[in-house]
Amino acid sequence: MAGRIKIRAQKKGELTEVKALMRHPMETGMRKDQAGESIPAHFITEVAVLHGDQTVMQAHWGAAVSANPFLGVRFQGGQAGDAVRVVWTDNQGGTGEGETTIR
Amino acid sequence: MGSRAELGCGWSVMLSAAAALPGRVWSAVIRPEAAFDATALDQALMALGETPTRHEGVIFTTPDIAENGAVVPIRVEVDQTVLPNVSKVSVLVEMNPNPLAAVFDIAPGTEVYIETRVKGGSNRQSLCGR
Repeated sequence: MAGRIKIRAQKKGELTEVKALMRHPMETGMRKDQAGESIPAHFITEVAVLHGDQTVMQAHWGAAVSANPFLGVRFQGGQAGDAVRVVWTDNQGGTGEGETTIR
Repeated sequence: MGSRAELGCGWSVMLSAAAALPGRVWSAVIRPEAAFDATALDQALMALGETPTRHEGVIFTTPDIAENGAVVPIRVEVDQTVLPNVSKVSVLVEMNPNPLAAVFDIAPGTEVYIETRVKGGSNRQSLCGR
């Protein structure tokens, strides 16, 4: 299941501001459904933001990050037109990826 | 969020480790499983290898009252003129079943500026950066 990511990268002076919105349930594994069955844990465990082939930020996440996670970061050295990617993997082996260009 | 604590936790040599792996999506940084599994704040900090100390220069922003505990916006900024060489930011929510919410590894040239949203089971938040 490859999740789509809404991503925007905007140059603001020296800095490039990246905002990404991922679609993911971020289930903690502690909730139960209406039938009383436990809903299995399903959450993004690793996220990275790349500028070209350089990782500008990578993160380990737990289930405490909200559903449909939002991530905002800022880095230096970006130029308009450069590629910015956000990628994630989750605890069930799912992955997601989004790409945009800096504007 | 009724109250919050701001803790910076010293800073270390993570920068060189990150810089040595250009072009890699995932660096060799291993997920701190024990810290994520910890069920108490001090246990999580111990698993991260951190002794909390309070530092100037860490700016932690979160609403005074979160409208929805499942979606609490947070922003972590570090004033790098006051606290330079921060390469890692961990976000811990004290009253959550597992306090450690996220660990961000920040590459050189990236601002120490993180915005995200976390679940907050109760009204205490704390933060640790290094």
